[in-house]
Amino acid sequence: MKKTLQWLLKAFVAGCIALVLLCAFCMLYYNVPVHHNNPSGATDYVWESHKFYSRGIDGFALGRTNNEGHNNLSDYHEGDAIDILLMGSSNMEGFNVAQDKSTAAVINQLFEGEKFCYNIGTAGHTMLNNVKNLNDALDKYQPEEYVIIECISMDYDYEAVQAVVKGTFPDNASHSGGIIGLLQRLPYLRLFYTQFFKDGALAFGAGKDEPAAPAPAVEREYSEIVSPLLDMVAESCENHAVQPIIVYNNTLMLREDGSLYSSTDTDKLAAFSQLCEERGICFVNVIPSFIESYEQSHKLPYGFSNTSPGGGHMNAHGHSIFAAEVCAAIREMEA
Amino acid sequence: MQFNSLAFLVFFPIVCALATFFSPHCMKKTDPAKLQRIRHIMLLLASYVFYGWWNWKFCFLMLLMTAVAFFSSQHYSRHGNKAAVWLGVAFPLVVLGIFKYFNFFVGSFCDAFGIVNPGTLRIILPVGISFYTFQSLSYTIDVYRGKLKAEEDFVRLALYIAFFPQLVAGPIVKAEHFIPQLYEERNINIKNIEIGVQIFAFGLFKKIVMADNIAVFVDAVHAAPGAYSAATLLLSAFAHYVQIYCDFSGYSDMAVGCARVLGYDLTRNFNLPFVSESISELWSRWHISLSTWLQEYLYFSLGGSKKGNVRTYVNLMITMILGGLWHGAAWTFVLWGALIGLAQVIERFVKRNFKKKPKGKRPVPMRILSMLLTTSFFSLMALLFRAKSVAVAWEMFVSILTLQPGINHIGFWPVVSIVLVIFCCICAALRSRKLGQRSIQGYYPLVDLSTVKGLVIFFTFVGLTLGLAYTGESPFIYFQF
Repeated sequence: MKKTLQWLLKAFVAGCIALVLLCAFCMLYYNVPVHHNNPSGATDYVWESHKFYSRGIDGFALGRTNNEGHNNLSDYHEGDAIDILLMGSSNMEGFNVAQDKSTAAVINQLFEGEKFCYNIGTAGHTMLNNVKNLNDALDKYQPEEYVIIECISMDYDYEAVQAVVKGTFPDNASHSGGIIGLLQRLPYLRLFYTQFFKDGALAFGAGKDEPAAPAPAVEREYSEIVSPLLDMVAESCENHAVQPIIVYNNTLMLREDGSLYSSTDTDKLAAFSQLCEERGICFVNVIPSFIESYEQSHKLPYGFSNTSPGGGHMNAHGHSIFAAEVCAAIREMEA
Repeated sequence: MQFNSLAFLVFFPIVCALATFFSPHCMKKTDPAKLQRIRHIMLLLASYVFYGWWNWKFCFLMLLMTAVAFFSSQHYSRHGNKAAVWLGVAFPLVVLGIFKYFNFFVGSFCDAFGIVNPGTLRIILPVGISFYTFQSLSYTIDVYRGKLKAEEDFVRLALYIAFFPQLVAGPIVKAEHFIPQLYEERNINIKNIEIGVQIFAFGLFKKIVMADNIAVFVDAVHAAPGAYSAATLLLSAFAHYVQIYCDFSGYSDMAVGCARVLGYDLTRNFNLPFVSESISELWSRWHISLSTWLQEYLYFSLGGSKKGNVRTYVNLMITMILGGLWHGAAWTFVLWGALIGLAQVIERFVKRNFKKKPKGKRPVPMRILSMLLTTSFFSLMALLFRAKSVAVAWEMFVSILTLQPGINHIGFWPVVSIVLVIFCCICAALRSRKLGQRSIQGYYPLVDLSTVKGLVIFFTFVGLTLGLAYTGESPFIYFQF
């Protein structure tokens, strides 16, 4: 009995030391900040401010969030001039690439000081989340010229869109308080949770951010489903005197012969584009540029060496194409 | 049930607890022989639960195969009737043939002669059939050869064939190695748990960290081989070699670890094949339980190397082609076996006619070069092992030779795993040199779990294994065989 107790004590001490070692390893391998609710409503939640992060899963990146908890190279203080506000999902958030390779950073590089782009892209924020938060985001940041909203799906559920319109669409929840919040501060436990309990954490594909639309109870015209969403975008932007730009991108697939293709429904894409045009919303589809770039250079816009080729989030190459397309659209509008 | 599943995480401790409960340590007043029999029955039932977890109907097939082996061997032993041995050998082979090869041979025959296929059997391949068929054969042949006495206790024989750690993917345990252990007093004890758990963890790391993470890369490349550059295709070939090794040797380690916890010893299945300096050596380090089985029950039965050079080469080719076919009913496996066999024939021919210096005196750079060449050859053969068809494998091979342009994807996990394998080989080489061993021997880096230092190392290793694991669906490669 005494021997068993001695061994259990040794095991406890060893377990604590092992946890410290594993956390030290995770500081560099997978160290994600804790997120908490965003009182401004510009996003559902924000990450901890001025927090070092690292990622060795689905890309490699090291960086530090800014004073607001967003992934920007500079801090933001109320009243700072912003020309372009960027809203989007984890792709736009850019935690999977070096901070100076994210879309917002590349847009700033391409405009060479002429315009300043501020990134509030946040993981788990679909088009619906972003439209829901748009008014609050424009109130808070007051962008002077453009707001870019990333869109990663052409499929929308009527009920979900109606919830956005009525203001009942739920926020992404944060659990930063209590024991759960405390446990999240141990990087190894965070990794363990991501590995075994968080649905889809390792199921690569940024498209996962957009929940699949359930089968509709009543067949509706696509325009009937999407129009209220785009009306909200147009109205909010008109009220804030800012030009909306919706940018569509999605993961692409490889055929056996090596050609790249998109599974996007082209009819829906055309209808969405038409509906945007009718409301004065600039619509940019980056997929043709992704495919063209691949055909020229064999480089995929998604995926990293630690994911399946072409799977996972947008890589630095994808961000650069995305940013170039946005800049080209802005220049064309200004020409 | 898979070793890396939650079901097994519950199942195995229950089995261990029952095995401990029915041990002389817990039941001091009960006759040890009686307890041993209860443990055997309990382990047999557990093995059938383990197997039936996948598909309970096939438990009857395994039971039938066991019964045939039991009664045919007993009949031969009592009456010396060779027909009983023939039945004991033919029955498992016929079952294996129907389930695994019938559709393949009928389809190939019809394709070759342009006959309209009369239809294939709609049957699924029972998991592990190739393994327990060979174990059943091993028993019957050993009894026939007089190496073993025909087993009088059905439970013992059934447990030998169905013992769950090695049931579905080996190692293929020979009857003469395992059945005697069932006559010994084998119990769970602290030392066995300490060793077994570490060996299991080692195998788990190979499987869920190395093999499964490499699989993400290899699967993607084989899904669209036309998309990738020659360098990526070549990396995928090497990566696949490492993947199969980690997957299968990982499973074997887990099997050895589980068996060890329960007090039984299973045969070693892999011995660092990457340090092989020839294909013959590689085949003696790769899937050792299969290669020795084929050698003992097929190659030697054909005459081995005792009937002249030409016959030796023919025997080698037959053995390797059948060894290839054992892996799967497809021409890719047949060709794989034939090419490995051909390489061994060439090696033997060269060795017999041209080689003068003994192997041990070769300079280190030459030995490393031999290892690289052997590994490269086996890696290219791995293309055949994985490709959908011979034509696809050939196209990939041509793409590598013609330096096809395409996506350059230098997978992180394949590179890390290859580096890790090289590191392990160096460690094993240094250790073997220190111990004065004639050839490089793989080993399990076990620590003393009674010390804080040992526990810290072990817990950190397990923590890393879980943290770095690929958590998607990824069955063991050898389950399909």
